[in-house]
Amino acid sequence: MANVKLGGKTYEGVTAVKTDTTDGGTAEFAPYDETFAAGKAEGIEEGYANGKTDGIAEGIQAEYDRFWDAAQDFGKRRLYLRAFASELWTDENFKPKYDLICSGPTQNMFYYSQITDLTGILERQNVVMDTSAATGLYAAFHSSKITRIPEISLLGITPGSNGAEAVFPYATGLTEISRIILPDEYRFELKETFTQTTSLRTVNFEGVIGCDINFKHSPLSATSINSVITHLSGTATGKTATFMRSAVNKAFETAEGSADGSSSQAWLDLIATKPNWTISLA
Amino acid sequence: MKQRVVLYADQGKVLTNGSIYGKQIFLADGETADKFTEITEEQYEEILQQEADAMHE
Repeated sequence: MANVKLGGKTYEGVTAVKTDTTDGGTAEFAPYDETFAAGKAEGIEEGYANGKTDGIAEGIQAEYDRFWDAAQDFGKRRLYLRAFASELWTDENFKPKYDLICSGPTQNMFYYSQITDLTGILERQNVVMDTSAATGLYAAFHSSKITRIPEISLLGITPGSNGAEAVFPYATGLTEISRIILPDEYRFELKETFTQTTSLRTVNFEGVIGCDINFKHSPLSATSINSVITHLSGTATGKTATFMRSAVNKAFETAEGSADGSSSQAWLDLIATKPNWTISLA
Repeated sequence: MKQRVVLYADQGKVLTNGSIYGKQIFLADGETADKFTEITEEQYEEILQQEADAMHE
């Protein structure tokens, strides 16, 4: 605080808020009350803007919590039958707050959904999807736009049911299923499970494939073809594993571009490990 | 190592025994080629379409 002169007047006890560089170092100061008022107004405006921004953010968070707490019953929901079926669901609005623990009938869970990178979304949301207690996953991803699916466990599928049939058909953008977990013995069919999965390259199996399995539409990689054949039952009889012929020809080709994989020694050695299976290249 | 019996479909044809379809089929041990016949690719596509229609019903 100091006494300063301004416009011929002397102001006592002024707080300098503005200085202009002038010759000789002459400085002009606005009166404290005016500068205080101006500063206060500016502060209020800034506070309002910041408060509004914070308020909006808190409002968005509150609405997100309100919706997903109700939709997932504060994390207690277990029934996800048709939960995200329809074109309504997209990457923009599918942001689960809690783990998707699927129990019981889980048919059509993502039927016709427009969600794409399911694996990426679950990772960003820091939640997991657990289907190990799902008794049926018929058409769970049928005709969806999903591109990547994390682990799918079929351990809970009701034996003898169609619960593992038609799980992924017409998911034409699906490129990767990180892991499919099967029981260690045959319990159900996998009919039409991979029909028209025309972009599917990566699939890894655990457990035993004890029924016909068909990848005629899927351009599987060599690693994935290996995984399928490795997990074919060593004791089943009368069963057929079908692959896309061009996928096998490329995956096991003897030289780049030769597309002769189906006659390569690597391929013949691989299928020789499962002589009890008919292998069809369609 | 026991050799597999491998069936090859003629150009423009698909092999089938009524449930298995393929252009190149590596038969399992004990399976024979007796029940396999050839259908045209057009016939095969019709069958696939029928399967697709059934799925969408």
